[in-house]
Amino acid sequence: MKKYSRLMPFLWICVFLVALSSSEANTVFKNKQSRAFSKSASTAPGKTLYIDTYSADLTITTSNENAVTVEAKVEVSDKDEEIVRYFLDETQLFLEPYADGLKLRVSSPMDELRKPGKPPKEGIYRRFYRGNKFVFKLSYSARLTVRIPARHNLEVENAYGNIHIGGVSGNFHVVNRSGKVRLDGCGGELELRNSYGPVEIPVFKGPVSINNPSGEVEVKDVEGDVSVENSYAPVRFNTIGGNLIISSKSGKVTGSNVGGDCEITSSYDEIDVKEVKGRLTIKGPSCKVTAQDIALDAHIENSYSPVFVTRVGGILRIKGGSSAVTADDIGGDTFIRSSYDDIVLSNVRGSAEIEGPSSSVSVREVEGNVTIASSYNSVIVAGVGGWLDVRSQSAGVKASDIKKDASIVTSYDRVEIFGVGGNLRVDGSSTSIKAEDISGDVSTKNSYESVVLHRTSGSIEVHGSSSRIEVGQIRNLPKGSRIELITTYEPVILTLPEDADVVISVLPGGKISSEFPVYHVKSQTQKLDAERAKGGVTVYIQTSGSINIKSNR
Amino acid sequence: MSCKELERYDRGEMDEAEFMRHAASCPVCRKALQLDEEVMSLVKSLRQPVEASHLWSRIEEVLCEERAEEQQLVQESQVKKKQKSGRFSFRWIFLRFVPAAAALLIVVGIGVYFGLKSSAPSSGLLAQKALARVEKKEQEYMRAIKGLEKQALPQMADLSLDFLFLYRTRLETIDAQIEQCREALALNPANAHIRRYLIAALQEKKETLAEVLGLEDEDTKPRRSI
Repeated sequence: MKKYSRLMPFLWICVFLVALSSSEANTVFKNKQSRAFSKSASTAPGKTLYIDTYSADLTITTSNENAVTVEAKVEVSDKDEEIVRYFLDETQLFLEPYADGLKLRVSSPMDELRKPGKPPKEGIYRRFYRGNKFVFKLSYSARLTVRIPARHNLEVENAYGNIHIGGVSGNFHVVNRSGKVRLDGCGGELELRNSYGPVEIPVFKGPVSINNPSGEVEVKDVEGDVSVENSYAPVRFNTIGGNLIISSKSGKVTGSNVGGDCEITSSYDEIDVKEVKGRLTIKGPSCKVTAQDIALDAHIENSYSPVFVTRVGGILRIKGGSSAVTADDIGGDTFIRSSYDDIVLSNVRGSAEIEGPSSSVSVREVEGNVTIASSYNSVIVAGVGGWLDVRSQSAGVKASDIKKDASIVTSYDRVEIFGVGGNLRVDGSSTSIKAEDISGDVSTKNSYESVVLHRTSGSIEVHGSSSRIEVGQIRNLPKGSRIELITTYEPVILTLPEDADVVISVLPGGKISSEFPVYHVKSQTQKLDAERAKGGVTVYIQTSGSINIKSNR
Repeated sequence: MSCKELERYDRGEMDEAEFMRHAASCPVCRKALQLDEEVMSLVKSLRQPVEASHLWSRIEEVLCEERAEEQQLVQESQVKKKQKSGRFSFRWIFLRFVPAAAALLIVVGIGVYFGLKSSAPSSGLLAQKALARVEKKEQEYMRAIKGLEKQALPQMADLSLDFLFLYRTRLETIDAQIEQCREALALNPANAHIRRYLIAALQEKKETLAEVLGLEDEDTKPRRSI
C-alpha cells in the first residue's frame, strides 16, 4: 500500500478530472429529478380509455392482455431541490374506472397553479412568493407509455406534448395543442383536433376527421372518408379510399389517389391533385392549380394564378379570375371562364365553351361544338368536330378544320379560316377576311379591309364597305346558288369556273371588265333573280370601284 | 453589452439610415445587425415554419458541440498533465504508473459514460445553459421581428384587402400561439417542448413579416382582390 501512496495524488486528480468532465451535466441538472410510475388495470376490448394529461409525451401501443398498463416518467427541475422533491412526492398517476372504461391522469401541484386566478399562498406554494409577487421557475415534463388491447377506444386530451398511437383499432377522439400527433397503423374512426403541430396519419382503416389550424397535415393510406380543416400550413395526402374534403385558408395542398370525390378549398398557395376516381372540386382563389387524371367531372374555381388540367373523364368547368388555363384530354364538355391570360384547350371529346375576355384563346381538337367569347386577344382554333361560334370584340381569329358551321364576329383585326365543313358566317367591321376550303355557304360582312374567298362550294354573300373583294378558285357552284358581292370604292375581282352557268347583273360605279355576259342594273332591286337564271347561278356585283369578272381557264 | 442608439433604434426613435451610419462606427450595433442578418438568412432557409426542426436541431447541435468541446478540453487538460509527467522516463512511467493509468482509464471511462448519459437528449427539460441559449435566440428573434414589424406593418396598409386580411389573420394566429406558449412557459420555463414551439412561432412570425416585405409590387396591385 505504501508503494502506491505516491500515486494517491494522481488518483485524486483523476477523480477531480472525471468530476469535471461530467460537471456540465452535474451542475445544470443537479436540481432536476425524475420519478417513475407504473399502473395497470383490467379492461376489455371495445372499452374506452380516457387520458387527461398536460405537457406530456404520450406513446400508446397495443398489448395482448385485457389490461391497460401505464409507465410514466415525470421530470421536474428547479433551483430549489426541496421544491423538486416536494413536487415529485405530490405527483401521482391515476388509472381509475370512469364512464365506459378507465381514466388515466397525472396529478401534480402544477394542477393547482394552472387553475385561473392567483396561486394559493399556502404550503409549498408559499415558497414561490417574493413578497406579493409570484415567482415560479419550476419546470415539468412527463412521458407516458400506455399499452392497451388492440381493439380499444381512446379519448385523449393533452397539450404541449407529442402523441403517438400505434396499431390500435377503435373510436379515437384526440385533442392536443402544440404537439405532433401521429397515428400509425390504426383503424376505426378518428376525430382529431390539434393546433400548431404536425399531424401524421400514415395508415388508418376507417374515416378520419382532422382539425389542425396552423399545423401541417399528412394523411396516407386511409380506408374511408377524410376531412381536413386547417389554416395556412401544408396538407399532403396519398391513397384515400373514400371521399376527401380539405378546407384550408391559405395552405399548400398536394396529393394523389383519391377513391371517391375530392373537394379542396384554399387560397394563395399551390393545389396539386392527381388521380381522383370520383369528382374533383377545387376552390382556390389565387392558387396555382394542377389537376391530373380525374375520372369524373372536375370543377375548378380560382383567380389570378395558373390552372393546369390533364385527363379529366367527365365535364370540366374552370372559373378563373385572370388565370392562365391549360387543359388537355377532357372526356366531357368543357366550360372555361377566365380573363387577361392565355387559355389553351386541347383534345376534348365533348363540346367546349370558353369565355375569356382579354384572354388569348387556343383550342385544338374538340370533338363537339366550340363557343368562344373573347375581347381583343387572338383566337386560334384547329380541329372542331361540331360547329364553331366565335364572338369577339376585336380579336384576330384563325380557325381551321371545322367540321360543321363556323360563325365569327370580331372587328379591327384579321379573320383567317381554312376548311369549314358547313356554312361560314363572318361579321367583322374593319376586319380583313380570308377564307379557304368552305364546303357550305359563305356570308361575310365587313368594312375597310379586304375579303378573299378561295375554294368555296356554296353560295357567297359578301357585304363590304370600302372593302376590296376577291373571290376565286370556286370548287362548286350548286344549281340555284347565288353570289352577291357588294362594296364601295374598292374593286371586286371574281373568278368563275369556265363552264359556270351564271346570270350576272352588275351595278357599276367604275370600270368593268368581264369574260362573262353581264347585265347592267340601276338599282339593287333590279338585280336578276333566280327565275331569270333558270336554275343556274345568279351573280350580283355592286361597287363604285372597278369590277373584274374572269374565267379560271 | 448594449448601446443606447440600438435601444433607440429598436424603439423606433431613430430611422434606419441614421442607425446604419451609427452602426458603421459601433461594434455593438454592427454585431446586432450581423445577428439580424444571420437570423434572417436562417429564416429564409427554412420553409417549414411549424416544424422548425432545422432550427431546433441546429440549437441542439450547438449544445452537443459545446458539450463535446468541454469534454475535449477536459481530455486535453488530462493529456497536458500526462505530458508534464513526460519528463520521467518511459520505463519509469510504465513501471510506476500502469496501475494509475488503468485507474485513470476506468474512472475517465465511467465519467464519460455518465457524462454522455446525462447529456443524451432524452430529457424533456432544458438544462440551464441550454435554456439560456434558447432564451438568447428568442431575444434575437424578438429584436429581428421588431425591426421587421417597423417596415412590414406600414406596408401592409398598402396591400389589397384580401392580402391584408390574409396576413393579418395569419399574424393574429401566430401571436396567439406565441402568447399561449409564453403563458405555458410562465409555469414551465425549462420545458423543451414548449420552448421549441415558441421558437417555431417566432420563426414563423419573422417569415410571415419577411413575406409581406417581399411581396412584389404586382402582388399588391388592387387587381389582386378576389
